[in-house]
Amino acid sequence: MRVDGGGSEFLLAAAGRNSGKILPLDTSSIMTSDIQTTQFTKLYIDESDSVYRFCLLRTSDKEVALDIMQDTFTHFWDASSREGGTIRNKRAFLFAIARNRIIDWYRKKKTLSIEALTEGSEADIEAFADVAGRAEIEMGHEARFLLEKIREIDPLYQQAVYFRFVEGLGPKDIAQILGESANVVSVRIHRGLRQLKKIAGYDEPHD
Amino acid sequence: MNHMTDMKKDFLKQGIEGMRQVRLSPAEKGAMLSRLLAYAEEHPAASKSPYVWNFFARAYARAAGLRFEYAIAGALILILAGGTAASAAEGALPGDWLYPVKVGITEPLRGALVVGDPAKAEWEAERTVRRLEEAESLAEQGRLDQDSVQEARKHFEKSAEKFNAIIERTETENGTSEEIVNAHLDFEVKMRAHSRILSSMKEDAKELRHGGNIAPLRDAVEENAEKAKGKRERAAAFLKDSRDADDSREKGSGRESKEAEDEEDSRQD
Repeated sequence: MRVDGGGSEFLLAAAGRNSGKILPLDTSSIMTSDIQTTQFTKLYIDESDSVYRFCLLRTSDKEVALDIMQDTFTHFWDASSREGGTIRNKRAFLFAIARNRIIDWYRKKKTLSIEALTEGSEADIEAFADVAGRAEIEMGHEARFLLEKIREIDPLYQQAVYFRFVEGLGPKDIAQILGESANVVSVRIHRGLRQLKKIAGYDEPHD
Repeated sequence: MNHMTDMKKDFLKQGIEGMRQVRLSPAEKGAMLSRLLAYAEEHPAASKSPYVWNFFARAYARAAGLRFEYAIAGALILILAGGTAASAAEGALPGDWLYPVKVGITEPLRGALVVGDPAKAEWEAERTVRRLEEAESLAEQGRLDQDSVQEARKHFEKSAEKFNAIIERTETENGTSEEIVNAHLDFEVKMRAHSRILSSMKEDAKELRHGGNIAPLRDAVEENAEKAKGKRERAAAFLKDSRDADDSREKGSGRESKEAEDEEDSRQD
């Protein structure tokens, strides 16, 4: 199974180039800073819960989730500052950063773990974490059941299903996050949902 | 069969809804926002601005007959004020997660719309009072803890410094005036009033049951009242000396004129 940095092409495109951007007129840097701080704050208000939720359900550790979330938003601010606030799909960009940070954390954790020597597969690097024994993560019975069932489907499909049905993102957005084509993502959503229905006995959700 | 299908659908829907309920606590959300805004302040954005902002802000500036920078700030406030976040932030108290938005975003933007040093000084004085009123509200609600006192004091001192800086600048540029004396007097009176309120709260242990020690905040308020008093007295004394000097000059020149007139009269005689 191929596991890359995840959405690296998208991250580079959003963070490092001017393609597609209309060049700005000169204006006061102070006011620009105010505008970007306001936009950044609004983005935080809108997306902080989603980013935190994703980090927490992937790591099952509150402190780690908060660290990764903070790192995600500071990285977003740096990238946004460089680009004059022109990042187009901010939500997908945030999730792409968070996902990459989680993968980094996971790899670091594995290199420090003796278990890593015996477990060769990187498949679970894409999987959601086991929150069953985590009482500090407050979730209802139905939510815990659903997360357990999502964890049972192919790790490759888990995030596509999660982003589609829990976060309500479309295949194009998910494709940007995962660094795949929209077609590949659509297939993953379809197959993942089929597996989920089979495992959990759900009927197809209508969102 | 249909009944079973509906149940399964509901169960999945409830599962999705339940997962969406995994959120930050208000305290975590506020603390994180404070850290992020501090980071943003330490790492300011580059001076590039999207064309679209300039376009709309310039159009708005033309329509409203405002300076471009004020127009941008005004446009932002209109956008923010339209949202629930800005309205909710306006009523936020230290410890509320939207409080950093109030002191870090909406108030500075409102300040950007204020034109002229006297009005800016007045706005900063109002912000100091707002910080004190917030601490008093928290104390009344029994929510004042040590962190809230520290936060209120930090923002209070920041606004008080800005107020003093604006007044000093105005005095340097335009000289001491009655407006300067009145500004110090007004500030001093406000500080004294709130110092008294905070002192009375200190004596009522019930209001501070969360362990908040309001004394450092009250001391800071008292210190600012004393500073304002000193500055007011100096400015008033300077103004009085200047007026006395002007009066004596006028009297002197009056005497010279009288002597010249007498001399002229004697020549004609």
